[in-house]
Amino acid sequence: MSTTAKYTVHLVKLLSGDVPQSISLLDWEYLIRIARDASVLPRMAYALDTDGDSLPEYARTHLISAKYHAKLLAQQVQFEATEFKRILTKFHHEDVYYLKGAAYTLSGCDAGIGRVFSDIDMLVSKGNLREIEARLSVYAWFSQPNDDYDDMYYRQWAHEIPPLKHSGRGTILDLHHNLVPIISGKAPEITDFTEGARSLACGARVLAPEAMILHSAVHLFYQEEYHHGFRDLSDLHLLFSEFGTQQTFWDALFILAQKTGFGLELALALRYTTSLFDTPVPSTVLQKSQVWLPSRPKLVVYDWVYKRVLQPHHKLCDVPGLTLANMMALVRGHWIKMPVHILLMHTAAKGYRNVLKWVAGKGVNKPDSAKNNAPPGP
Amino acid sequence: MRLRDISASEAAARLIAGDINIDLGVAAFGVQSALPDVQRVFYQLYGDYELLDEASPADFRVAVQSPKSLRRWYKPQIHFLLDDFVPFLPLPRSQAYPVLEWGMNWCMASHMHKYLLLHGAVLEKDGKAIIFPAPPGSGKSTLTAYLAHTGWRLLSDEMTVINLETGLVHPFVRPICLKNNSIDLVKSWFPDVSISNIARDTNKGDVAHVKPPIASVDNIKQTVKVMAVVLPKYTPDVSLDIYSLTKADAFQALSDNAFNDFVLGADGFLALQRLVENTTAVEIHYNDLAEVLAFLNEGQFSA
Repeated sequence: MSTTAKYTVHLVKLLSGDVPQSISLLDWEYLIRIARDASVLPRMAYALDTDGDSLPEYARTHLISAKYHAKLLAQQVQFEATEFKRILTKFHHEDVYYLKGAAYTLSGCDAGIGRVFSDIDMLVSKGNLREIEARLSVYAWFSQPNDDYDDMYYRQWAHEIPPLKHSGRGTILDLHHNLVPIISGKAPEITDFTEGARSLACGARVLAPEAMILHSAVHLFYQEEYHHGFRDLSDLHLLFSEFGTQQTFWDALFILAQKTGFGLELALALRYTTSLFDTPVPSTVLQKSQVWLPSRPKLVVYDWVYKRVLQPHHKLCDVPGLTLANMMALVRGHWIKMPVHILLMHTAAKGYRNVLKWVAGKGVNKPDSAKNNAPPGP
Repeated sequence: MRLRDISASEAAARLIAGDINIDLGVAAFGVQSALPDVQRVFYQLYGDYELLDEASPADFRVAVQSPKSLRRWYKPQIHFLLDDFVPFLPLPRSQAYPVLEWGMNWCMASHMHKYLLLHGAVLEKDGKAIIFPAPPGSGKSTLTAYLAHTGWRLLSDEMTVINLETGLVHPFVRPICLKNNSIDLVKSWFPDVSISNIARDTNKGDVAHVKPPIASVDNIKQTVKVMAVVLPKYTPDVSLDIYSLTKADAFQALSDNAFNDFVLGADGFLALQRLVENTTAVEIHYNDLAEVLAFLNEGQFSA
């Protein structure tokens, strides 16, 4: 696509293991910074050969460092999964499904290799949610809402409860009971997604490939904020590539999308993975998905927005119109999730907080744990 | 070209533009700041370091900036940035320079995992390095400043950098960070040494930075074999007591002071193990730096 920034093109190549011809050391610096900012640096490191001497020492240093990070993350999620098995009752644990990054990593699929995530996402049935939350609190998992408004927002309208944080290890857990906000009116019958789930070695489960991928697409196109859009699109590229070799997979995926009403999200995911990552998708599949795409004028707008916001957001790969595209994605993200009167209330509450922040500086918010590490020093 | 080869005003202009890339041996840092006090102290302390040309990559692009909130005028604050990322909450404006130094350490500790990184000073004499791992309050930086001006080569004050493959220690020469009373002590011992102005009331108390000796900066790429590990413990009523440490205690002490051993996993464990096996470790309780110097110069670590 013509609006693709030069470094986005390079990054896509690197993520598939190809080193672009004649890139300078300074290009490497830029690419590593962009990849780190977009949370794909470890994924890039695993795609490239960091053991041999084909890469410049400068790049190897940062890629090797990123690999160590990813290994640690994978180990931590493995540890937490074992913990959850230990502390939840057998009945409740059989109702746990890992989602997104944790699921990719725990299930060992390609999208899990070098996948960066900052929290563990877990789906449980709504009926068990209260008991599971209570049980987890005994083991030092506590909820961390910013304020009463946030707590109310989560409890009443969202598809998840406020994030739980382990007070010893600092791990964050997002407990979901659905995949999209209940208030949106588009929340699916969750059993449609959990049908055919696969068991992991730890005893918990991950969704069947078609459900995992459809959720990935829904999650991406239900966002307001696309800072990790490129990484999430890269997830979808890897998932399609890995599971898409079987026609039965595509059949199951289309049936699920039709049944749950997420055809548009699937069609968009196919459209933008193939255009940016050149994902191997059978042409019949692509063609079949087009019935879900919006009418031509609307599609032009979608393309204009998503072909921008799904690129890395670093200033080094800025594309003309990105700011406006981000704003349009933000509006759409809210629009599809909330009825208008709720949206207005939400905007007012968030706006008030932003004004406070602008006046008094960031310190007014309760310190975010991830941003509160004291610098090492004497 | 060294930083001092350009004028202070050119350095200031280039710091505003973020067009200063300084070679610290194990890493190159691109530095940006529009704050005049940061520019002044940076120019004072890093004058002897080599500037990299514009085609050279930086390992980290860091900045110290005023945040864009109205707090600019009311109890002003500053931010440290790595690229566009703000890793910590803002700090009071008066701490701008120390925050740059501490932020640079944070960059290493959280992103440079090609090495084992320990919280500790390193000094060398006759091709043999001693590591001084120590938590804050042990008197490590005062000891470091003293040794660095009495015949020992400074490799590092804050961060020990160990090569995972060779086990050798890499210099990471940086200004020495003095706290509280030790600022005046060092000034009285070494009146000719260049020391930054004092940042008051930081979370570590009053803080000033000592310019590293030029001989250290000139040998910034010269790795050294580690001979001993010395745990310093400033003890007001003891002139010098030396305790020999078992391998297990030495391992524990190094591990307690490691920044990234948990990230390195098994490789970190093995690097610590190798370090302990190939060195002698002692703990010293002291109040008399001259006696410590004499002991270290003698180099008799085992009974």
